[in-house]
Amino acid sequence: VAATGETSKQLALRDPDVRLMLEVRDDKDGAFAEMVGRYQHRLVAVMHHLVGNAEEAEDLAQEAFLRVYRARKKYHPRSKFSTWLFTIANNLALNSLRARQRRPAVPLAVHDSGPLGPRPAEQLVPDPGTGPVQRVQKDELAAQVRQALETLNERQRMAVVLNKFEDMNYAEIAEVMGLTTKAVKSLLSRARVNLRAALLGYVSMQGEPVPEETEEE
Amino acid sequence: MAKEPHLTERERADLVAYLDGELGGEAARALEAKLNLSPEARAEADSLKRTWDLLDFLPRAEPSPRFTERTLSRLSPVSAVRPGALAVPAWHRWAGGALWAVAVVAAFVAGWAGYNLLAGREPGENRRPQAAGEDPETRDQKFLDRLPARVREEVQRLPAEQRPARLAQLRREEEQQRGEWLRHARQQPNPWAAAPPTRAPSHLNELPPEVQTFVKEVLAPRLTAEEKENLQNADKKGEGLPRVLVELTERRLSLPPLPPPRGPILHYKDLPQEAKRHAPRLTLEKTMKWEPLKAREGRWPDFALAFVEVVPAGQRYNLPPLGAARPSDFSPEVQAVIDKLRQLSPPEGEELHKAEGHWPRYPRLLLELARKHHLAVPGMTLPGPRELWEHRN
Repeated sequence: VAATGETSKQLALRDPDVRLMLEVRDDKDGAFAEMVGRYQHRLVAVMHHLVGNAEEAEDLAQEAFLRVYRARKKYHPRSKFSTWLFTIANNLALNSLRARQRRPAVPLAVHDSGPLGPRPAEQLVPDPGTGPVQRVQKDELAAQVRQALETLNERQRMAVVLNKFEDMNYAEIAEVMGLTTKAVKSLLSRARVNLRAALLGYVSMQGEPVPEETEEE
Repeated sequence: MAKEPHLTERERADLVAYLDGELGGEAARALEAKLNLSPEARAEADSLKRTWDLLDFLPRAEPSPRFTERTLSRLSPVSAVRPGALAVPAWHRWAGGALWAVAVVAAFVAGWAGYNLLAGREPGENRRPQAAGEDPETRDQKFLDRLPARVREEVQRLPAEQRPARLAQLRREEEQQRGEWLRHARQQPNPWAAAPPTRAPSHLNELPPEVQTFVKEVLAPRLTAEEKENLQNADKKGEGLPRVLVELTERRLSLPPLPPPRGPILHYKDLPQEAKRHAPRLTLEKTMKWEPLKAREGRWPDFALAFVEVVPAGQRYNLPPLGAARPSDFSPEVQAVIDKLRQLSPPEGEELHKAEGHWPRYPRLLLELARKHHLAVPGMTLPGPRELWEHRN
């Protein structure tokens, strides 16, 4: 027990989010709101990449936070807080995607992503260095990439999203998804091959030179 | 269907792990040997990397403005009305502590006054443009988020129907205070105004009190032992103090880290995976760059700058930002300066906009433009007009 206590303490000292979660557990005023504020952008973004629908992404992210809140009294720090949070998010998202498979729905186009899509003012901001034609091409490409992501099975998609957008390493992904590191390696390899097959035409279009850099001194 | 005849499934899994910076030891060496020998394997690696890069085209969704409030409203009624439950913290706590805030305010007074004098504006004209279509609740929430925690909590403890009136009162007070600052600033345009320097100050105690506070409470805690010694020597000998202060401020404060939860990146392990891919540890070890980089770990912004330097020049443009590099990464006071720069010179504002997301290019360009237009950047430059610091003796 002493050893577990010591480990928890060390983890809490290392990870400010663990400390915050312990405050949520202890019902400290404002702690849960702070946590939602701190993690909402990441969680909504991940959910959106997974389910492709802005409203559903926001609902799932809210549900994940509510589950954290309901489970707060049982919380014991064992690893990084984000790993625990994304484990909850993983379960929710996989359930949602599996339910959708049983009840197929037409995915929304990228440019029609509801209230979470680009806001009117953002849509008016000119994309640096690109004209309207390039912007249309970019939108089309985004739609193709979205479709390619949807060709992956839900576990491959989850691994890709956590690796690409959450910068999680294989060990962290394994912990979130309840897999071995070896299984994650295999999952990501197959996912990348599948993505390449779905985007083959666009991969060869990407042979343009890297934008010229203004050298730092 | 794609042809994939060149690698076995296991080799391909190793290749993907290698691209992700997850392969080490014998397996990495075997794969590198294969990549060296086989153009097909290199092409495969290249196509997998390009595919991965295409994911960057996916738009990133942001939560709706009232996400926190709506999430809290879904809790049980008892929890939802707990006092302070809506206390959404401001992100810019990285700067830490009330003393920093005091110094930022001191610098802000000078900066704010400077650019208002420059543009000849009146109090109240300087409000940041309201985002198109922003509803009053969102505006109130943003205003609330900027308030000190004590005031925020006081507002949140109020019954909902009394909050709008209290917020309106706080807004009026802020306007009035800003007006006071301006009037004060017009009489005393900078911290030096009470006793204009006839020569470069030689000792710390010759600096105006605001600047002494800034040096002691903001700058000094971020200095290395050697830098502190340099500052003490300059103070003691009375030689080159302004130059030392300018240099140390530029080195330690001109590049703020990313806001939480990311915060300052101090170690290789803290880097985003995307950044590591541009300079994998194995490659750095092979090219003898690992140890020098490792030696810079633990101090901001030294490590992040050193990392940018070990990334091949052609790839730096594609690095994710390692420090504050977008307006939203900075404090509201710095955002006000960015807005002002956009107003003063739309072409330069556009140039700054194009640099968004590129670090350290963005903060450096921001400082360069601010210097050009005689604006102080709160928390990133010494208090007071830049010209007064240029006694680089």
